[in-house]
Amino acid sequence: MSERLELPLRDQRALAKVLTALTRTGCTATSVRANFGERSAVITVEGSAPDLHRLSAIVSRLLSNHQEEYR
Amino acid sequence: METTGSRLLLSALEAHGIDAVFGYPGGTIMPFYDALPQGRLAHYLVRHEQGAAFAAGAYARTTGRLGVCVATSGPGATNLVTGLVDAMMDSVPVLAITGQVRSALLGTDGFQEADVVGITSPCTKHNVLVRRASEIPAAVERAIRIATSGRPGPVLVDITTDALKERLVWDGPLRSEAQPPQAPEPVALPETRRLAAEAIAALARAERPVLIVGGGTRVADVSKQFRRFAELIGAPVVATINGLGTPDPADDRYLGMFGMHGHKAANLAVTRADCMLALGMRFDDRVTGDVSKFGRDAIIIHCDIDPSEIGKIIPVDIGIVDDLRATMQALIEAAEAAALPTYDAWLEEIAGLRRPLPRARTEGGELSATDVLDALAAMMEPGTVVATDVGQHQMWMAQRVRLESSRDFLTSAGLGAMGFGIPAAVGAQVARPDDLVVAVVGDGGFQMTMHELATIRRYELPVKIVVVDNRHLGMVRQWQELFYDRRIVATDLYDNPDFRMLAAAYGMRSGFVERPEDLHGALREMLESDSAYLLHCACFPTENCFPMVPAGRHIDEMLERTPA
Repeated sequence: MSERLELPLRDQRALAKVLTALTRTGCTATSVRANFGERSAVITVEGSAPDLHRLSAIVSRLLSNHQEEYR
Repeated sequence: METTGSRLLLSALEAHGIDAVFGYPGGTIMPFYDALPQGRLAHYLVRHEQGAAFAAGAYARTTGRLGVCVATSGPGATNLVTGLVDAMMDSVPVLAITGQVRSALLGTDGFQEADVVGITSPCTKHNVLVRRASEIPAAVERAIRIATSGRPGPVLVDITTDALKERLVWDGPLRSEAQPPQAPEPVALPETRRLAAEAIAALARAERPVLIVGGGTRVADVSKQFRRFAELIGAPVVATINGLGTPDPADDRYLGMFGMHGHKAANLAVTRADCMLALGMRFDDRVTGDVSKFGRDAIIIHCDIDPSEIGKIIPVDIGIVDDLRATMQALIEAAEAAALPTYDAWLEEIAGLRRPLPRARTEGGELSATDVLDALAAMMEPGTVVATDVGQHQMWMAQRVRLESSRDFLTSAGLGAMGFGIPAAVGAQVARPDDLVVAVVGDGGFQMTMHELATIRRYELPVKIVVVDNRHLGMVRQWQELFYDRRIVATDLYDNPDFRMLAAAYGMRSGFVERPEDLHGALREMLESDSAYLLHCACFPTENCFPMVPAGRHIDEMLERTPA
């Protein structure tokens, strides 16, 4: 059963990392709302609960340091 | 002050206390090499960029300090990637500096152009493309801070060759004044203290607790604190391969490595435990086996600095996210304040599970690899640094080595990158010139990076190399025998070169042993040599590494011999 996850992003590098991670999990991005000029974006992802769980872990590690730069 | 981008890079590295780099020159990074003689950095010329990345990683693993590697654009940079992934997997602080084509050529498929920032984005904590010389000091500082803070890892600074050549007047800082030279000792967060008390209460209620140590304990350098804590708790202790060296090897309650090739008692202790306290580990599939059965009936307490690890693989009952130094302090204080039971019945049960490691059955007086590694482990003095390659010998060594410090065992654990051993020994010997460094490698992995014998020779590094030669890619052959109906394909290395002649070609002393009765003398001669030495051990080819948990099985389902 497919579930949905919304991931907030800050810039296009973060979006690139999330899109790369999608290919490792079998999840699908269903929408991207972005205004990187205002550092505001949300990507919505669908997938099975285990796949979304793995995606969250991957993205969390990929973005934790990256986002730290922009605090 | 008038300077260039290259000199700024050199000065910035020196300002951060970098004194050694491993690298290989090429077109776009040439301006940096041109500036090198003007600084104090010791540069170690490797013979392949992968060796630079592995050596930098080993330098970091064995000292706790940042390792630095340098390469040119395109193939130079892509050759670093395996070493960067290795550092990412095992949380090792490495800074890679790469040259890049000049700015005007970016994106044009210029000669030796590769999208290095794109390629290394998933395998670095941080990377950045620098196109102006004035951005170099801040980029280096940010990269170093990210590599060495929190959960350490690799970072990459890609610098266009025009930025390296750029002349500029620089009066700015090379390093932020605001950044203290050393991070203060971390103090446990209030939440950490609260959860530590809960964790100790859970251990106090348990009847069959186990303490698990992982690589995070090496990163945080908490061996002393852990040993104190283990003494207070009095529970059995097991380690992942990256946690080896943290527990006291003389502690009767220490059961050694657990997991796919773990000791039987360690695996059974984890299986039967009703409470696990896991410190700085990530529940890799090589230690959990079948995840659905791992810790099914146990309270699981997981401590890690990285929140993304908590609950990633195994659901946990208590997750403590903090610097492990702070967590250990909070756990010790909570344990000291608690009334803890003794676990006599459990310890007695565990003692009854201990078994000697399976022995090889040889025919005709042939030398076995486990004979070699048993003898080597017994003969090494405390403080010897061991760098392994990947495969059977890696697991055999991990099962046998007795370590006083987790910084003394270097292995590509998470990535399992063959070819790691020799360049890792190079990095370790550079970092610790006064310590004995022994590389234990198989005949397969050795041939992936044996060109680094030239590096060993050039810098007169007294590395000792034990080539455990079973004329096979042994671990793959073992899997073919056990899980692929004995179909042996592409793992026979019957045409290996003469390793002693190779050593001689690089001006290295060497020895050869093929009979068990000659083993101790051969090892003694190697260990007592004051220069680099290669010992070629010709072992019988079909020895298997046991215990072994077949992939995907529960970790109590161990094979201890080859099924008939």
